[in-house]
Amino acid sequence: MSTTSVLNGMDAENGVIPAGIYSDQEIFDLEMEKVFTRSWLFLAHESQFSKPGDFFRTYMGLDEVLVVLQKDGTFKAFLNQCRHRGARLCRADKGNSKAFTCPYHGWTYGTAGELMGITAEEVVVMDKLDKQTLSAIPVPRMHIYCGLIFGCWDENVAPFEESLGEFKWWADGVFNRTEAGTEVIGGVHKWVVPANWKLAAEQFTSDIYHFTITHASGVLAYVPEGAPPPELPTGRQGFSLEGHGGGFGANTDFYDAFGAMTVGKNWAKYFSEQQREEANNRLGKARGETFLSVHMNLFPNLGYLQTNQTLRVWHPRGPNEIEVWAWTLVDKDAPAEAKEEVRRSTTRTFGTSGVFEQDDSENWAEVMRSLRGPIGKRTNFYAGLGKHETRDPSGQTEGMSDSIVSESAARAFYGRWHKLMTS
Amino acid sequence: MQPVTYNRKITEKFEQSDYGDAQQHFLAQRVLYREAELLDSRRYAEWLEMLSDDLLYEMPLRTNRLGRELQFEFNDPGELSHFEEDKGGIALRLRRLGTNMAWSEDPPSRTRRLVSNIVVKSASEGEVLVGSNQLVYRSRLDHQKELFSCARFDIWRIQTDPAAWQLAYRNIVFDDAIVHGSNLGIFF
Repeated sequence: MSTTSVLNGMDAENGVIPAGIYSDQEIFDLEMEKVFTRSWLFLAHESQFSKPGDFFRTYMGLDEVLVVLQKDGTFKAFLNQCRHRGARLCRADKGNSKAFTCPYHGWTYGTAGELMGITAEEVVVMDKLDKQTLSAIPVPRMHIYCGLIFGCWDENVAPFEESLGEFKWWADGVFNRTEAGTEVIGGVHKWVVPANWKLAAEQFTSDIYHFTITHASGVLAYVPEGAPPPELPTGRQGFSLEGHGGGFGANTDFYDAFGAMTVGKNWAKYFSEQQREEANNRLGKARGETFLSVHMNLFPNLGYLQTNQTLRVWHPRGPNEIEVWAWTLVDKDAPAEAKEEVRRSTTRTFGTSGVFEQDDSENWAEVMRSLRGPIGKRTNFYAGLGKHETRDPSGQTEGMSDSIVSESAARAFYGRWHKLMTS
Repeated sequence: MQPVTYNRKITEKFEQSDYGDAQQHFLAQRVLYREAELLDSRRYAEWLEMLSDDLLYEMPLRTNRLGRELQFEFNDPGELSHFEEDKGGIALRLRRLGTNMAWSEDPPSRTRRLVSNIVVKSASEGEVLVGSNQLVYRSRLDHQKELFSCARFDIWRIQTDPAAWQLAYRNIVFDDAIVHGSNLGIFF
């Protein structure tokens, strides 16, 4: 099937999703250009850096970038590529450096990506050469939102917070709960899933529906023997036309108990008392107390589970491969013993060996296994579930939303994706 | 080139301790082979019995670093690990596998553990330190194939009867910076 016929066959508003959007190489190549060079992408968390020259190597789509803390406290990001012949400037995952020297011919770049030195310049440069024109390709737009560092290749992209659209109300409710904010625990879990990145992103945007089935084994392992099987939560699903979305559970008592069971007592105490009180004061009870994010995704590829404190980027590696990078996020204000509980429990639930994580990846890989043949690739998937509300009838929440078990946010995700792909 | 720096207390303990005798080496080898056999045969209940109640089971993350920063190659204690488990956590993972709804292990992995390079050192009374290398082959479904390589630093509580030895501590040195597979849903 051609790219055009796959895209023409898509009707996101009515939940018609052609399978080819996941499996087709041409679609993938196009989305790297149309989606990933024009959207805000998560690069790193502020707390990963402490001294000038601290750097972190990551990806924006398929493009590798270095994020570096500058002397003035700001961040710069630039393509990890020498302007001479293109070798990578840095192979380390993270570290501290005053400069990055290309291992091929030795051109040297400063922490802002500026070209500082050309090897044997006096011998090889015959004419006057303006080094400034040969700096590493900069990421032109950067923004820090509640400690999360984002970058965008498109100089004309809407400002980050504007690009959240109506989902900002929900996102603030998750990331802006305390004055002190969040930090990450050292290290990033990294693994490879043989699936398309959109399956993961869409699930985190819109899908609590899978929880009782996909994660049945994880839940049963935690609950006492003979306990009733888990039920789908009540609450709202928030989303915006910009493609962001998440599920917000309304049953506070359930989540307090779930937190105590899966994370630990110290964390549950901090979360349900200290943090909630502060969030109530900052955001009001609708977000501070009533709604807790069970899952969310900022378009295109940043997922977060507030209940399990795992923040992850779905790095696309091809139509059939995701490199998942998962950070563990904790509140700076949380007591040390609560942070330790988060570190251990997130590893157990959603790390490389996580008991919930594994069953997600397995199902995404299963979807891809059905998309190898021409008939399987031609199927239209159905993403029409939900009440199709766009506002909370109770008026308790703001912005666009539906009941929590819904695919409204998925339809918004695919709508945004389709719009970028066809414009 | 900087030598590998494994910043864990257990490696210090290995360096400071003397080699065990031939009998201890023989028994430790038997225990490790027995453990590998139980895991490869999915005899998890019997494996769980080999674990001490105060078990700590760790596998730190490993990263690519600049040459002059190689001493930071492994995450520090207090940072993220692939595993940071006590016996209760291992038991929880095994309960999950027993539900028949653990989709990532249904059908289950076929594994083969090759254990080698065994080093046995005498520690305090009633304990031996056992170092080993392990190569784990994992095959699953039709096309899923993975090979995981690691070293292990163990503390075993010993008894006269080797069937009663219990694992009190295991530190797993994983040889990949990125897990080349969907999960680490098996044990090392």
